[in-house]
Amino acid sequence: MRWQSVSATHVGLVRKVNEDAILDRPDLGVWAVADGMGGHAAGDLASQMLVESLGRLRVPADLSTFVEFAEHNILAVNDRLLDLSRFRHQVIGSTIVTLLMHERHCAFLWAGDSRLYRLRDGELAQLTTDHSQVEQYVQQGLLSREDAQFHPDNNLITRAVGATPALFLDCDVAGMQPGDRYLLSSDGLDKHVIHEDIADGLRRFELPRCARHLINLALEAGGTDNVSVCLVEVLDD
Amino acid sequence: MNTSLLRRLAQAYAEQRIDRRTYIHERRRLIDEAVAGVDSEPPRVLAPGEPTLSAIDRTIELPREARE
Repeated sequence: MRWQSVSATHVGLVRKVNEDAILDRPDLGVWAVADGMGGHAAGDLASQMLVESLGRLRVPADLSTFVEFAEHNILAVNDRLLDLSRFRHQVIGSTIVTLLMHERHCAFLWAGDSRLYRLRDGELAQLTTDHSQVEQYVQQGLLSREDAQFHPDNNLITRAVGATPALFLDCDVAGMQPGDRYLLSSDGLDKHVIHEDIADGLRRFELPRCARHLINLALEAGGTDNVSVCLVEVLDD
Repeated sequence: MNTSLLRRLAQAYAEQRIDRRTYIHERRRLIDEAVAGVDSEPPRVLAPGEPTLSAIDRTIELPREARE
């Protein structure tokens, strides 16, 4: 299969620094969104280190090796961030969601609340599950999915690269179909834009316009955080 | 597809119910079988009825101020 992609990021309307970073490498079949934390010269460094490391991946012969290579690089960045945190006496971390495409299948790995969605046959599905406090509330039945989006704890995450020596990445695989659209995004999108509006944008617009549309929706709703989107469309052979 | 098995496996690893070597081995098998279109047997290391939340997640909560 072939694919095409576009990406966009915006600092938002409140923050002074964009700590998000995007990797958009259709030539490798690798995409990523990372949302750094720790402030200027920390969060942006963490997210940038992640995307640079994943950008150095080489495409192996099979998807399982691709996953191992990507995990290896992310874990190596985790170690480097922990060293840096100890040296600077500050939190330096980042979420990560990365999508790897290989022939007719894709794999994705993530830590934190950056997300991967897929639009197929007009239906939008969230393929990742947030590592966040509010997701735990939802799974425990303490909070509805609808109320979670605007809960005051919605910026508390429970896993991140650089947070702990032992980093456990979640992982999954999926078959791809021509016409599938994948969206990687930072929480600056989903904290402002509801699921149905994201789906509507993905259904209506070509990729570049869709990326601008999603960013604009987040900004119009307040733009309180950095917002990043990376869109990948699967094409027929 | 082996998607749910793969996620359950990753969760078992996060909860340290399986070691890294087992995780890597079983993950490779599940991904290779998914790509080959084979219906996988659940990894024997996955006990039925495991919890849906990772115990490890409750121990590493990051402070709110770290993200602001």
